[in-house]
Amino acid sequence: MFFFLLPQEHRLMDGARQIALADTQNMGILLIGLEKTTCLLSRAAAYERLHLAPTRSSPQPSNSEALASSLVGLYASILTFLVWTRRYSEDGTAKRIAKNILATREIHELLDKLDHDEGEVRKESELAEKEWARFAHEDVLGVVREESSSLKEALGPKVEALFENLKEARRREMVMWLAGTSYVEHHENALQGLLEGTGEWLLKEETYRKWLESEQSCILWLHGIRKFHPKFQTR
Amino acid sequence: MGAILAGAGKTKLTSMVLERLLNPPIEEKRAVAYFYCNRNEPKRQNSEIILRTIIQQLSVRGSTGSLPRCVMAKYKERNKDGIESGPPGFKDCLSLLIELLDIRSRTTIVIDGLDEIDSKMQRQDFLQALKQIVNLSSSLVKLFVSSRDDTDITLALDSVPNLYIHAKDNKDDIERFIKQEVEKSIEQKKLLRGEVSNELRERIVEALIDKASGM
Repeated sequence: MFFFLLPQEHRLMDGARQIALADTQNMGILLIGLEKTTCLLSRAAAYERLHLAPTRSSPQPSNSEALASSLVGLYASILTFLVWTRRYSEDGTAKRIAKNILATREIHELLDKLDHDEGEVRKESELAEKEWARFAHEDVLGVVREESSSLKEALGPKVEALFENLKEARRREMVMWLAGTSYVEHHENALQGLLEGTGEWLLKEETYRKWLESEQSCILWLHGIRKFHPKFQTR
Repeated sequence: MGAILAGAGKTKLTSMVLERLLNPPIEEKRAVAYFYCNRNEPKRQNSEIILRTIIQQLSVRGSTGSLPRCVMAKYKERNKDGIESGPPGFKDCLSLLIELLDIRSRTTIVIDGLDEIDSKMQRQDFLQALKQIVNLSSSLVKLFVSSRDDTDITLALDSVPNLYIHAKDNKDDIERFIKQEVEKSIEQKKLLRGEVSNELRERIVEALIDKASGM
């Protein structure tokens, strides 16, 4: 059919086709936008559930108000977008085509707004997440601390006793390693029968006193009585 | 009685001196370690065992408490890699003893009967060790040793202060001892079934004292 068109007519038709194409493009973008809002809605619900419904293990984050208002902003943008889309799609094709160029700009603005609002929500929710992570970390630390101190309490004396035993065993081992021979009874035997006053002369000897009182290390040698074999026997 | 009388010489005197040192009249900060050698017991005539026994006395105070650091270090050194090396030898003992003595400000060591240490070699090593202890210790060490007048010991110790027990020195001790022994023998009816007159008793005592001072 187009074969019979004059060049002018052809140009006209070409323009109409372009307008129709733009309308189709707008509708396509709106479709993509719709899909996006669906995703955003479920995502926003998840954020809300995660951060704004406190449980025992995760308290309300300190930025909950900012997060809530950013979510409200996002919901508002979603609503605006949906309302706009509905109105636009209800318009007749001719009317749409009439405000085509304007519509394209508006759609982009609306979509940008959605992106921006989602960004805000994400920022706030990241903050909340970081806070929660710190809280969880501290919580875990607290639990570990508590557990370890109760463990210490329970095991401490046992460990100490074990350590003491080990030390005692080590000590015994070393004493055994050093051990010479008995000596106390040899002194006791030597003392037996020692008469009161025996050797008093020695204690008065100058050599002995000098040895005892000297402030320098020294040896005292007691010697003598090499040959002393009395023949007398009592039995 | 001969052995007892001989003991009334050096060993008795040594034990008396040691008893005084162990129980000083005034509270003195002085550790005392001692050893009585005896040629009849193998463990009491070995120079290494003598040093070990003295180290033991100076290291172990009471039944608990840690041992001196130098002892533990020596133990670890000798038993490294978990291989037991047996007790420390003579040289190890000597260096350990000198280290131990340096922990305290003053220590007294009494050793009776150096002549009863077995073998001239060991005796010579031991005498040299005694001199090293006195020369190398930085703290105050007093050694009291007793022995017979054997030549090797005399040669080694002739330059140190010495007390020679002359007969006259312990004449009183011997007299006191003889009198007591005679009394005891009569009381226990070992001497002439205890039927000894006072006159006879005095004559026996006199004769014994006479013999003893002639030694």
